[in-house]
Amino acid sequence: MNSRILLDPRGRGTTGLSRRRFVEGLGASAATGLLCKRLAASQPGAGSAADELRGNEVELRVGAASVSFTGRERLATLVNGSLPAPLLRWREGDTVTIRVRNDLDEDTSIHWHGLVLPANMDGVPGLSFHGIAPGETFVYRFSLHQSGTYWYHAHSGFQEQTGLYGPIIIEPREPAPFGYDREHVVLLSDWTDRDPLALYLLLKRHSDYFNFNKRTLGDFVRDSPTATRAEYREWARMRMQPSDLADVSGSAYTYLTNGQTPSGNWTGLFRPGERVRLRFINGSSMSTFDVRIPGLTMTVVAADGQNVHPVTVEEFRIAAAETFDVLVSPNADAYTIFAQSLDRTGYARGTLAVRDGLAAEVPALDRIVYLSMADMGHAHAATATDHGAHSATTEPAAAGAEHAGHALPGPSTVSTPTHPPSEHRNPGLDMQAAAPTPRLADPGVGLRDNGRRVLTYADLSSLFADPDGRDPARTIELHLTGHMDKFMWSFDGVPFADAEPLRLRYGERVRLRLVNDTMMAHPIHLHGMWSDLEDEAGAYLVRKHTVNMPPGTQRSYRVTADALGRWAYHCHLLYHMAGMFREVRVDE
Amino acid sequence: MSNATMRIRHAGLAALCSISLSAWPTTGAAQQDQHTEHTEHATQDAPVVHVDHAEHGAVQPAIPGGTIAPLTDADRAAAFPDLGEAVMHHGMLEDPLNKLVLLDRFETQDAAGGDVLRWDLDTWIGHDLRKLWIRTEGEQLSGDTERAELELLWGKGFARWWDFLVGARRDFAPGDDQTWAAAGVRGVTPYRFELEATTYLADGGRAALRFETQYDVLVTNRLVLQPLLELNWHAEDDAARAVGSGLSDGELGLRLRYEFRREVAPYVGLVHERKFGGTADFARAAGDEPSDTRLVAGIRVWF
Repeated sequence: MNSRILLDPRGRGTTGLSRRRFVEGLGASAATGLLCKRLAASQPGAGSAADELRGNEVELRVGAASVSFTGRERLATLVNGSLPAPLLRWREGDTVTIRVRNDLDEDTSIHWHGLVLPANMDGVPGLSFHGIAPGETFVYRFSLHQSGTYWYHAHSGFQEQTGLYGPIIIEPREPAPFGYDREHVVLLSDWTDRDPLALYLLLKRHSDYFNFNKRTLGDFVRDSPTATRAEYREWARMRMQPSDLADVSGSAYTYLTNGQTPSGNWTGLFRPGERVRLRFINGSSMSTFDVRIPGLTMTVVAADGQNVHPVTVEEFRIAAAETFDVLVSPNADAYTIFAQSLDRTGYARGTLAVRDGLAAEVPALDRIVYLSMADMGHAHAATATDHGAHSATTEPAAAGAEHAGHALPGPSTVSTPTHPPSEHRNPGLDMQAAAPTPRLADPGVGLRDNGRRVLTYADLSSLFADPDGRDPARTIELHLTGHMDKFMWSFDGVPFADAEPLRLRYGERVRLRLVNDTMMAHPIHLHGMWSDLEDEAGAYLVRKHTVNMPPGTQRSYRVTADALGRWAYHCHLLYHMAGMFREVRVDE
Repeated sequence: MSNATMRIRHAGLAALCSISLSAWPTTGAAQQDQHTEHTEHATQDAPVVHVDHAEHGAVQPAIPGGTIAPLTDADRAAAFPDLGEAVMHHGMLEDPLNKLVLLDRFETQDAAGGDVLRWDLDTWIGHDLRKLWIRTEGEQLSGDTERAELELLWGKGFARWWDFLVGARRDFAPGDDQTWAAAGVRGVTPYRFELEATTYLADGGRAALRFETQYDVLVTNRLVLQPLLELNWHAEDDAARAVGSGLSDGELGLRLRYEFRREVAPYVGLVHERKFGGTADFARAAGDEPSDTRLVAGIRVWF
């Protein structure tokens, strides 16, 4: 099964299927000497990743080439002629050498997302290295101290949006604590025909450009109960849109599964009775996906590459940069992997099937569920929500109240946040959360009470105890801030360009408490060190590299500053990243 | 979460595990028990927790961390490579130079005295909080320019929803050219009314005030009904331009546009224009009606 776009010098004719997309432009520089190999049709038993590079010596060439996902040709950023970039399969404990040659006419870089490695191998231009100039080859070399599902992507400009992302699998030295017969990577991403810089400038002019789900006059008339009207009034008073769930919607994005559009229908094969490990990676620039496989339950066994106590669900939400490994046991001929965008404007789709060419029913998109005032961390307005059917455990406001009533032994990580002075009278903010709570057991907007068992962060529990064990000696509180209309993003109201680094001392254990003062969810990624998520009581929950922060939440995690150097710490939404970014500097 | 609920949760997970994962290794359950035990300790006795971890480390050698490695010079060199003057910018400016050209109104009006061509153009170039504004508006009646003005303003975002603008306005018609100093605000009020209020000062102590507000009613996500109110006030009579002191004129408009694309929206509407006080007297003296209700059709374009 051809799961990727390949730069094939012979072009269209060799790929066979007319609806498959090709890389047609053979930039002279990109076409020569590529490692790219023809994809063999994947056979049952042969694993899924056709375009896979194994071994400890890897050569990657970053180049531009023309692709067409929508019928219009656009330039993409490819690795070895492939979108997504080739799967890198390594082995824990090995030292790998990756030679990355830049065939673009601008600088590039590759960041190994979630890998713990020396700072000068982390791939962030201007922070940990110079970047890779056009025509230059940079040699990454590092040892693998971990196993699991990870990914890599560009950390330069908008190259991640234009295709520079690929999966990494690190095989464990010890066998995995669960068995499976076969595995497939399911890399979800978003593609746009628009020039990403133009898109960014457009969002700064009209941030609601892609939102065609605003509530209308008709909705207002239909939603006549006064409680709902009060909520309408509150949203209007705040000058915000409750349908503002994604900055870029399906009106600009084509959602991809392993580089295939929904109609391309990426297919992963299995034999009935097999247990299949699916390694989900959200490699998108701006999209959150809600993933399910109708007819199958999924047992989540790893999050962000790290094993967790298995938990069986029917659906999970995956934010940008997160990964989840799930086990499924398919028995029918075909199943649809359905990943709808959070704002319900489109979906990525693939198929698990016993042979190529099969398809199962593709579900309809769920109806959009608007944000409520409770979602925004404004507990006082909770009575105005239309989520009256919530159980107490998922109602954000109720969860917060429950928490407040507890007299917890030991240090609670939840406190009423104090907004930093830099937020005061700051024109770069449009709101501050009044009563943010962790809401770890909340499936999130659009997934509550949908009749399916939905994964929450509270369900994730590492298969190992807190690897450090020390209580954090201090807490650093950072607020996620921004202005939706101006499309400005920052931490504590201060964008990266104006901010001092966060300074950690080598070896210390700190608690980072994030408070979301915006109306968007932000997946926050710390480079170089793990983010050990805590529960409401301050107990260790799960080890992650990217922690999703829905609006109206505060969440905290522990960080062991065991990596000397200058590290990036940022929102992983590509168009938020320039502002919502900090350098974390670990000194002796 | 209390320890009790934590235990319940883990018990539940263990059950799920045994149900769904027949191939789960036999150590799985044992590990979960240890984990449960650990969480009980976690909130009670930190030192015990630490010992606990060491045991877990032995069970899961794959997990990094737990001990802090002593640093070598090689570590230090790798941690802080010499980047010279290079600064972090990830090739993406947080606040790049941006621009907007908005032809908010470009319409023909079916006026009492003939067809009126009316324009209202807002343009800015700049950054998130600092912008240079160029605004022009005016109208022609049967090909003659009745009113035309051009403003050049410097704008600064000073509050969450408000920009302060200062600059100059040049009038080319009616009458002789005249120049005003301008200062004002523009922004969005609670309940999403867009608002512009500008004061103008000219030679001889002449002063004027303009207030404009509009609101978008979404009939659908593409069909937008836009009520608009504009009021002008002048401090002094200006007979040459047929303007009386006080509230001089106003417009109440209702325009219905269809956004084929966000950027391109033709519209139709109804506009009521009215002159007040001395300005109305000037109009009557010239044989004009002081108020007029007009059908309009036009296009709104931005890029």
